[in-house]
Amino acid sequence: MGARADDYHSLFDAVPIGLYRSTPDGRLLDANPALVHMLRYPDRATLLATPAAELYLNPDERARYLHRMQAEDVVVDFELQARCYDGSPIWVRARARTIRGPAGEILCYEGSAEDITARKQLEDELFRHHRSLEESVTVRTAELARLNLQLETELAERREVEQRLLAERDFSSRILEHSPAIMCSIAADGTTRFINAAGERLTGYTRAELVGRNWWRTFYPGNEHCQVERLFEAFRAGNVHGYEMALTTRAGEKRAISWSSINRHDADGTLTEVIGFGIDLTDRLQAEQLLRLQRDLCMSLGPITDLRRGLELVLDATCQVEGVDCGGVYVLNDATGDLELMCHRNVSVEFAAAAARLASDEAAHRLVMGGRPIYLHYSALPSTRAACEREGLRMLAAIPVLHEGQIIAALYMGSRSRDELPANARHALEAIAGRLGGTLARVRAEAARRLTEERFRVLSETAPVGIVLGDAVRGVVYANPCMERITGRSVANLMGDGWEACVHPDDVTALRQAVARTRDRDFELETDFRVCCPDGAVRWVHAHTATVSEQTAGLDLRVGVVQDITERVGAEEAARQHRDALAHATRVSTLGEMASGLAHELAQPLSAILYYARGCIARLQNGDWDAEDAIRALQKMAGQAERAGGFVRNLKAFVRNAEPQRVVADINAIVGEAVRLVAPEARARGVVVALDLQATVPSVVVDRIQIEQVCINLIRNAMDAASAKPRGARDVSVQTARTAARTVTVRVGDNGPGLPPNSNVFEPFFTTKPDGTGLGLPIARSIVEAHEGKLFIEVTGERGTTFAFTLPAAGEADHEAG
Amino acid sequence: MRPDEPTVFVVDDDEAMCEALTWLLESQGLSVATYNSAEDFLSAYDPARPGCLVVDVRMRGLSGLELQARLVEQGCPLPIIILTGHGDVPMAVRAVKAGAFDFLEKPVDDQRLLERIRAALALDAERRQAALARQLALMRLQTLTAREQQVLDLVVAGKPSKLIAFELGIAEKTVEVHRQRVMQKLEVRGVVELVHLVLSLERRDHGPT
Repeated sequence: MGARADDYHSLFDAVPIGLYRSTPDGRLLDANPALVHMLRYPDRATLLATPAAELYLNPDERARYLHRMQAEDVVVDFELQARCYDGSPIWVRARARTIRGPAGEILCYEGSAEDITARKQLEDELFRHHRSLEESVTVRTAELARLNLQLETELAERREVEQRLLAERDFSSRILEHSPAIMCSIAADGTTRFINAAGERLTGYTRAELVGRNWWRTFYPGNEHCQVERLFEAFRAGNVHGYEMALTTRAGEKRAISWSSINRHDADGTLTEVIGFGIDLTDRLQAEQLLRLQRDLCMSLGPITDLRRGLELVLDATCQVEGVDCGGVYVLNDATGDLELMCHRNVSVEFAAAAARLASDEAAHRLVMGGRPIYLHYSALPSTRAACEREGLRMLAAIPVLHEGQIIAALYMGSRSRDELPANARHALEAIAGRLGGTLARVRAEAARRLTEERFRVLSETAPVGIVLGDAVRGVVYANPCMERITGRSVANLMGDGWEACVHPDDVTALRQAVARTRDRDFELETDFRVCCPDGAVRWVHAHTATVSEQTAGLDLRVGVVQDITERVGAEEAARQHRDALAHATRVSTLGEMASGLAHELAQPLSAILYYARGCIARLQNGDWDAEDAIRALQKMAGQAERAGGFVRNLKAFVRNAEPQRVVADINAIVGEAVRLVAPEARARGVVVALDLQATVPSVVVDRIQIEQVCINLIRNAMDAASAKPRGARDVSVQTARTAARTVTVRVGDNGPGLPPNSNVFEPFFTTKPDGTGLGLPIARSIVEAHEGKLFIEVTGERGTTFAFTLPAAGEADHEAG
Repeated sequence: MRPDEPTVFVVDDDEAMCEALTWLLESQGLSVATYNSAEDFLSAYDPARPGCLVVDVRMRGLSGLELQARLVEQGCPLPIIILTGHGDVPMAVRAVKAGAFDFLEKPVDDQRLLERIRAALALDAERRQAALARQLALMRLQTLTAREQQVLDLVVAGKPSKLIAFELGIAEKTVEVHRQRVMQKLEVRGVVELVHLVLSLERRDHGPT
């Protein structure tokens, strides 16, 4: 026992842990040197002289301690703050047991005390750093929240874990073991002293493997560690927060870690270790990068209008996806159904061009064409295997670009660094492809629309006709520059109802009514009206409007084309006047040619009248008369006078230079008058004019005199032709007939020798007659054409020639008007 | 209307004109026949009928000028008065050259027309008279014997009886007897009348009418 007591005392004195015995009333019975040293007392006696209560920083703690001692006899790991000799506090972990006497009375307490101040400090620092870490994580999370919902969820989970950890008061070891953050301790010389479980998981090394090894050389292979070690020097200068560095795992993978560190020094101020806290940012960074990639792509594609530029942007973005380093974009040729290479990156053009074609017989290709993305090891495609090997490709990805469910393009990407792509990279590729689908469709649609718009703009701005767009409610909504030239007003002044101001006052009502008629139905309006320019000029315009498309609110957009026809109207008017004047001149000239015949025609009744009168006189003088005979003679005289008067009236009408007047007329009556006028000439020339007038022929709307002139011209020409025959065999026929539902035809035939071959009788100044003007037929034709009819040679040959002309039959409206 | 009564033949395709002319001419006591075409007239006309022809230059079928030409061909002696309209003067000139009696421009003054018609009728009558006389003379000429014909020819040639007797180898006395007989047969009173008669017959035989 004595020896044991000695042993005990030597152990008591030698152990590095403070040991003591104390009484319940608070006296220290004994204390070992370690405790004296720990509490920094000069010697054991001084310590023992100090009441136990004074050793506690907080007196309540002693009370709690004593209470537990009395209740449990043994108290383990009771942490308290002790007051040192110099008054400074230290953290102490105490364990004690109660020594009882035989009656169970408390004799004394025996316990140990361990200075845990350093650990406590470490824990505090850990706590503090964790706090700051949490803050930076929060900030980062907030940042990322904008970018990625998925990440936010992930971060929320992490926050939850961290909050749960924070909720626990006793977290030091839990933090060490369960924290998702890497925690490590690195000695000043770079030796790894500690690494937690998270560190093991991340790096792929076990704690046993790492401890004692140089941290930098382990995780920064090759020459990387040299740079990092230099950096480490900077670390030594102070604590580091949120410094990002990538380390290489055991598997050779680079992981981006955000480091925070605290430096620990010994009492001399010498750096003893660096405590590092690392958060693995790799996944987040990758996700972030992919998100950023997509966002940037999205933003850069937004304003893109050039297809190829867009495709290049997409391709560049795609090549930034982790693991993807080359590829090409192919666009479906609608005509051939083939994918055609548009642009490529980092592969030979031969390979890129052939890639789509090489795989065209593969099932994989069919999947792509069917809209499914495929990811294949290069060896899975026999047809492209050799080519892949030449290019050094380890895997291929083919992602179809769809629009409205149909493939319109495809991304063929390859990797030289990986055999397969991680899920997020795949998602990124597919998201990019999705984005490209929309963009491609939009760019194409925009290009098509721009082309259309550009065409319309060019057409509209350079068109020599006015173009207006408008609807029933808003009036005119667009007018092209030509409208300014036509109306003499700015486009702005034509908008809405503004155009009405430029319409001639006499035409505006009719035009408004015409426009109103177009509002109810799909009605094409075609009308001529006058436009008054501010400078006083009046222009004739021809407007033609049509419905363009059904608009919302049941409004039809209408397009109007407005043509300045002033010159044409002027020219038409001049031509009409010219034609009328020429027609008149020709009539007068014709009459001149016919003068002798006409004179004969007049002389005939006049002579008859004279003879009757003289006969009467003679009979009356002789007294040799009979009343009945005389009355008969006088009646004959009156008849002859009427005949002469009627003829003169016809003649006067024929040569009168009156404004042509269209009236509803009986074509047979017109032909009859014409024949009467040429009858004397026919008689003189021994030509028999046969009439075949259809009684049921419809009326026509014509200028009677001009049509009569045409008939006379044709009949006289026919008589000329017939005169090649001997007298008595000269036949001319005039026929009227309805030849179509709404057409009346007049035919004038002769039995002459036919027209000379290749003679253009309608050419002005063409004539077969020595004294002909050569104007008769051209004028006749222009008259007929002015009546919307045609004048033509129906037949010509050895047995004669027939000229015919048509006239439109009068409609019901004409009869009403007539 | 007697067949030998001089008649005014009117050819005009204008019926009113025909009627009016008839009315006028009949008021002057003339006999009138009207035809509506040259063809009608040609088929109906008997050259023996005296009178004159009034024809319009312009007609359906044959014109006035063509009718004239036909009549000339047939040797019809009717004097033709051609009525023309305004401006037909060249045609009228041709007609006159071809032997028309006259041409008148319409409207024709009725007095002038009547005067010309009467003149034409007179001419026709005169011609017919002359023709008659000539016919008579020819008939008488045919009654001469061959010797009398020989003597006549030599007398008309202006040869004296003595020379005629010498040429024919007969006695002068005999010539005188033949001459007397010729004069008796031809009903002429002297040599002058005889010569005139023979020459007029010869002219009719060879010269134009």
